[in-house]
Amino acid sequence: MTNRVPTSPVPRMLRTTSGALFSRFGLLAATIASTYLASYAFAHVVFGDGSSETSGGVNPVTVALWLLFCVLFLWVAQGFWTATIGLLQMLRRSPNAVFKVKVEAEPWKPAEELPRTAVLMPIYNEDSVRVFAGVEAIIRSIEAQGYTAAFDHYILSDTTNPTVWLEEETQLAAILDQFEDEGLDVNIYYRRRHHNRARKSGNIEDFCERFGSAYTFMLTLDADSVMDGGTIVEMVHRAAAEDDIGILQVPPQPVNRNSLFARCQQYAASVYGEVFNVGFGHWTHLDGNYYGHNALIRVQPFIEHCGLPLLPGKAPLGGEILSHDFVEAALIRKAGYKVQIAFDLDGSYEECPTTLVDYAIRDQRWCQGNMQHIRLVFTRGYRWMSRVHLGMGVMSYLASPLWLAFMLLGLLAVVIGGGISHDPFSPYSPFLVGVTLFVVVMAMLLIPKFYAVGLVLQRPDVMRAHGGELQAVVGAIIEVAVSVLIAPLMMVYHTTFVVNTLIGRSVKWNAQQRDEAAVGWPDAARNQWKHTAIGLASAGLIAVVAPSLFIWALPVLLGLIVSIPTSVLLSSVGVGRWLRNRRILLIPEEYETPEVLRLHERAMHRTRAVADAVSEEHPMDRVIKDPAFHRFHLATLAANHEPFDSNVNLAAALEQAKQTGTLTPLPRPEQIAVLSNPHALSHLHHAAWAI
Amino acid sequence: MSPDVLTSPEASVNPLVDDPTPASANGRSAIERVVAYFAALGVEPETALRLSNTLDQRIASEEDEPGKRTQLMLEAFDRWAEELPDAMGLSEAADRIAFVLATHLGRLLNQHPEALGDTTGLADSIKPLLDARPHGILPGLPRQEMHRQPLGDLPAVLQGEFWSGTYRWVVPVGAGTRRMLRAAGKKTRTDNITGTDTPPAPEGPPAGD
Repeated sequence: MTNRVPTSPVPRMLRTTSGALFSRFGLLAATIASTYLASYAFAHVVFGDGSSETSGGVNPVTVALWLLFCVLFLWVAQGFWTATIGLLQMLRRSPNAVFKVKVEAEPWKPAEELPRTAVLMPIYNEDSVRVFAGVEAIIRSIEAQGYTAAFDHYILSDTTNPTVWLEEETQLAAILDQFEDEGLDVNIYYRRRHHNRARKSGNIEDFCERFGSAYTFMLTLDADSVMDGGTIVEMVHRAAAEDDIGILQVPPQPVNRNSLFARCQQYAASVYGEVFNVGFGHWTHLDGNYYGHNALIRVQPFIEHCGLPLLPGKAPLGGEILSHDFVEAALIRKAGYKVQIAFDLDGSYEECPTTLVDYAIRDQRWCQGNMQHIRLVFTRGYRWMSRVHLGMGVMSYLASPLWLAFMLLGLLAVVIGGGISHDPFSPYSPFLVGVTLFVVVMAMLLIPKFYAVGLVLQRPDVMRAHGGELQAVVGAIIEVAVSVLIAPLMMVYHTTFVVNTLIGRSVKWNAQQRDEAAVGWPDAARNQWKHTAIGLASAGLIAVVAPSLFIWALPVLLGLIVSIPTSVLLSSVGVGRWLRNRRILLIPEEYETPEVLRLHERAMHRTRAVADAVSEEHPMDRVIKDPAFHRFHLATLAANHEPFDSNVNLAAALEQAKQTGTLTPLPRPEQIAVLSNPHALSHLHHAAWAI
Repeated sequence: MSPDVLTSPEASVNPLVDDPTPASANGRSAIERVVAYFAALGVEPETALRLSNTLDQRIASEEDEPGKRTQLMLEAFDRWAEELPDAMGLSEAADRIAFVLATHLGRLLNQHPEALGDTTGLADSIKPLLDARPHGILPGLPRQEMHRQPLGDLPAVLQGEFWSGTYRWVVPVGAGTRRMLRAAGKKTRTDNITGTDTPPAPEGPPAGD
């Protein structure tokens, strides 16, 4: 796989449908066969071999234990075999492969012949400096390809914080000025919704209803997304070449973060992500999935077929669908359009959470959204592959409570059974078989990582881009160690999230924390003391009731007990940078920074300078006092043509603002009401200058 | 405005030179305050003075409280800006003209200090700017409705009372348990969970993702 998107003509991979079907059959057969064998062996462990002195026997605990093992092994096996498919496909694409993959080159069309595409940046109380830097980088990157005329750019704001709203407008005015001064003929639009109906999916829906008729495609981004112009243009060409591509997803690579935790995520995505993406993309083929951003969507089918249904019941399992991406992919697939993952394309970037807590917060809202999909897995009308995606999304969180239940039942089974067999090392003893199965499971979890590291080491250029031979291996070791250390924590987190969702406790979806801020010891203690307590209590319990299991439980217990220092260490930017300086956990985007990321960095300087230039005055004071900004704010309000209604007593709010000369002491609803009312705001503006 | 006012020692702020942000200097006349306003827009001092005098003449002389007079003058200026699209014969481009004024007003007024009285020159300067991009004006396009898709039925085997009953039990168990404990043995009331495809009024966390 190349690390850069080549310029025209671009080779395209041709994968026949029969190849994907073969992959699916192979994956299914291998997963079922390996699960059958493992389950058979585990039955020997859990039900006993009849000759040992301490036999589990068949009872509700052992039956439940065995069933859980079957489900969990199936889950592990599908990941392993997906990675194996990816390995085989990547070896095929090697120049020395026995089986060559047919490629077809097609030149790019001129910009004026390309279907019009809207680039959408939905935002919600985000850092405007970063958002507008991303917008600028993408615009310039597309311009470098010569395709500015084919794309319009929309910043779709659902911001509810009035200060952030005004910061967005400040950056908007600056970027409009900047590009007008440069003579860059590009359309940039800003729309802020007064009412955040249905969150991000509603934001996109509003765009589709109001402006979708002008565009063939829309490229959905996240607030921290950056995409290379060449990648975007190539995506449009591919989707335009086939009328039935509904969604074309390019897997994003996390970049730009420096904490140890973030660097591990970036490294894992870069090294392991490739082999998993290739495998997943191969067997899903035209029944791929949509991750919610960094994807191109065909607008008209999306409008016609992807209006999200309401789920029965109350939130969090009922009501509006929160994780809309998987469902939109299922709906567009149901309508007969393809959903394809372009695993061969690079130039798609995002930023990841930098601390354990931020990661958990993000997972909490994803968990709630994915648990809603339980209902949809069984709904009539969806394609089977869509159900697989929805089910995998559910399982990605449900697996944790199942693992926890498995361990607790295992403990209970040992207690009931009176401990491990008298002669654990006799041939085919349940103990030995159990150890073997444990090794097999660990191997299935770790071998894909060996695949990936092996593929990196096989390619000198890729190896150099990951720091070199030794550094690539050391990086993988560190990443594995961190994964093992945090796995018990994530298990507890996910179990909590799943249980909360199932018992009806909703999560408040706040804006994701996107800044890098290390976690101090007090914060880590506050966040993780429960995990430490659980680890210590469990260690004590196991030591007393099932000491024979203690050594096996140690990796899990250790992860929980040391969660506080783990949290501090993982959030450390200093440690991350120290490793980076030694080319450990390095990713290709750091070895040779892609042009779009350089553009992004330069744009960040500009947007930061814009923010600094006005930092001495609060935005809500500036909109009242600065004539130019006041006029710009009113112009954006008028151009939106969206009526604003509110229960706020506007007259009282206005009177209070007049007396204090500022909006800042007012409650947020009053601030928004005044800012949304041109007459009220003008009155304050005139009064401010009349002093 | 007489030079005396400009150099008046009572003026704590020189509107032609100093920081143009509004200051609470009660000794300033309305004209001085409006001059400061135009200065904040980037208008040159002489032009700012000329514009302020023009606005001053449009306000009834009976209103002599400086603060009130200033507000009236600024309101008159805003009315002039709002009526500009009609005066130019481009009322359909009102949004666009508003954006142009938001970003170029100071420069335009410097080029056309007579604009409050005669908008011809100003209009000629504005017209080429209407086509400049990026302009930020949202396009006016035909609206399309995006309808909710039907949810779809569950298979018959999952529509039975057992599954909907299980669902009904699982979801409120936490809340129900708490109520049960509080009520010390009273029967828990069931929540409004239908377990069927009938969607209730949507509820959920107000924040977005």
